[in-house]
Amino acid sequence: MPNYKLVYFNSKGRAEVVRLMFAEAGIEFEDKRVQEEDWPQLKPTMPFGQLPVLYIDDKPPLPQSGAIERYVARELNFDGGSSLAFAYIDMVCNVLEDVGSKVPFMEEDEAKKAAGTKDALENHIYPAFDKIEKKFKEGGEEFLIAKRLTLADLAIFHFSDVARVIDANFITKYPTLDALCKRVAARPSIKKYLENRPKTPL
Amino acid sequence: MPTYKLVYFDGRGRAELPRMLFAEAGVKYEDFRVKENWASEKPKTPFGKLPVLTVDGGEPLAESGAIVRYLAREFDLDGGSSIHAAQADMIHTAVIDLSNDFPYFEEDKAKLAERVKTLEEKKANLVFEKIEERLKASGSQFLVARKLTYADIAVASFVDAFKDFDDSFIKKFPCLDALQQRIASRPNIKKWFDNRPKTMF
Repeated sequence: MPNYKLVYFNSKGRAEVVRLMFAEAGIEFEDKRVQEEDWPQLKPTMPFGQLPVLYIDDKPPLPQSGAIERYVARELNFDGGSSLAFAYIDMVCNVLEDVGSKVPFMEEDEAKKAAGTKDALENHIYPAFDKIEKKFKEGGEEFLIAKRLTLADLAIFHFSDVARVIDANFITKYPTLDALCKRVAARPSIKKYLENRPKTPL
Repeated sequence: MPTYKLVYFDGRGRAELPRMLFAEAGVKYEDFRVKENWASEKPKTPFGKLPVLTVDGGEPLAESGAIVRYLAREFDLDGGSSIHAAQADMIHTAVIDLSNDFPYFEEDKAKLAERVKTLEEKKANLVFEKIEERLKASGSQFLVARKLTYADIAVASFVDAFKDFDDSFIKKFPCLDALQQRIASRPNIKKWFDNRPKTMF
């Protein structure tokens, strides 16, 4: 088993889905959390000046949360078992990334932030989730893709978790997805991870 | 060989890299371009957006990134191993993210120039510097695994699209410039570039 070190800030953000995969697979890894004040010095040493970054043994660090998620999903069998299944998983994750990126978390002007968040929810997030919910409900399966737990289920779970910051009852609007998220959270390894992880809002 | 149908607008945009992968791999596909009937096509797509890929008439696959990564794997253009695929992935993602900021349809010339400058100074220069360093240090003809991957084709695709906005950008990065020229002159890619529909975006 390779040695993994995941470097990110002390938050869930773009590292949490990877952490969830390690937790579910029971893989030990170094969960390095960079403090804000240490970041400016570390930044120029990172491949694209960003976090997260994954170190695998002595290989050059791998940046880009999407690339890290896809790599770890494949290594730890959260990829649905086939290229085509993984493509649909990839699609779901891309959609979440895309709609999530529309929320102006960094906006300092409160009024602009509120307006931008409302726009993101109504014009991007809710429509995407309406579609995912509908398809998932119609399919009647326990998991989103490939009849097993994959990266897609964990990505939805993580999204529903952080979305509470902008809409307290977000996932309850989507009963089938809500039930999925509850099932994910109840899995023993995930449950233990959730109980013990650092508590951060995002 | 499966039957592939790629649906997009009549333009390069987010479909051009998938089209280049089909071209390089020499794989036939239906290059469907939505012209007038987007309103009726839109509800048929998974998320109301294009491009969409269907394989053997199955469930449509949306999201250009997912489409590119899927085709790259199918066509052996992803480097072959998980770690190489991850490296190609990271380069492709970093480069293609930049194209999200392309100021298509910006009519004010001053604003357009400003947006291009901002894109370069705030994002593109850094990404390309890092990839240039990597390529130069490796001494390889290719970005990953010492063979052609979709990362190389993504760089060529980016340069092809960005020259509408700044055709001297890539000159700042000599190794990458040489790489994208090599890609553009590969027979199948060249044939595609020469014969593809000429479009505004």
